[in-house]
Amino acid sequence: MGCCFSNEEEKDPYANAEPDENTRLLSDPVSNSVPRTVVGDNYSSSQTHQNQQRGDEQSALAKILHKTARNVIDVATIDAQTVEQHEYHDRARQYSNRLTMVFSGPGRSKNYRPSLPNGVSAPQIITTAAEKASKAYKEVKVHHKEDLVVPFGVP
Amino acid sequence: MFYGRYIILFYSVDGLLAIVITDRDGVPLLKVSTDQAPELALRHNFLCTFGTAAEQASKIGLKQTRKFICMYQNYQIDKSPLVLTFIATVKTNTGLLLNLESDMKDIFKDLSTVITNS
Repeated sequence: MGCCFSNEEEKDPYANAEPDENTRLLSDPVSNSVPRTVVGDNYSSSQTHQNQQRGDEQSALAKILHKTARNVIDVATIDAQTVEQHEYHDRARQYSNRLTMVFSGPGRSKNYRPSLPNGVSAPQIITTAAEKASKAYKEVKVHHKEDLVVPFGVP
Repeated sequence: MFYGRYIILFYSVDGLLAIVITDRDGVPLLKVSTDQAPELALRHNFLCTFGTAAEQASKIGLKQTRKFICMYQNYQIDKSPLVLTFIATVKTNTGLLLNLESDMKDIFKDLSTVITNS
């Protein structure tokens, strides 16, 4: 025997002000088609009100549509998103112009240096040190003085 | 100068064939490459793929894509709003390439202004 129970309480949907997954996103569509019984001056005001409501509805729908379209992973449309050839060239030219402006501007005297420890201003110190070290390493020689393998107690 | 530093970086990793800095749509800002670099991999069609793929991949709920590592003969790092692409031989040390990104921090700062101003 089993028991299936979903924790769904009997609630008055209109008493619940907090929006949840069951909340209607749009106002009741039936209420928009109220028969026009109003006459005289009130008629135009009610019509504008209705139009406004319809506009809200449309924008809400559009918002949902945009959100959904943004979240959909659509591989087929990727081809269409690529940049046009002439736009590509234009942008590349624009970037190169901006780059030359940024890197040869009058306010620019900064040099890009490799990250060295503090106090070491020029990499020359390192290169000369490395050269000296390699030179010294090459000059290391082994002088043969005595046998490495010595027989112990062998008569 | 700036380019000098860029080229020094380029030779600091063995097996690195090309460094390309592009915007999200694959329009190149800077390109450094050797003769051995595959010409097709330096084309716009290839470079822009990663931008769009990153955009699509971010929708699966894993947040924004930071890095792409493609192991054919290629290597890719993404740095918003710029995309930094390294193309290297298969035997190249991936960790060294990742490290290059931090070495290029100051260059990136200036390049980002180029993109954001436009």
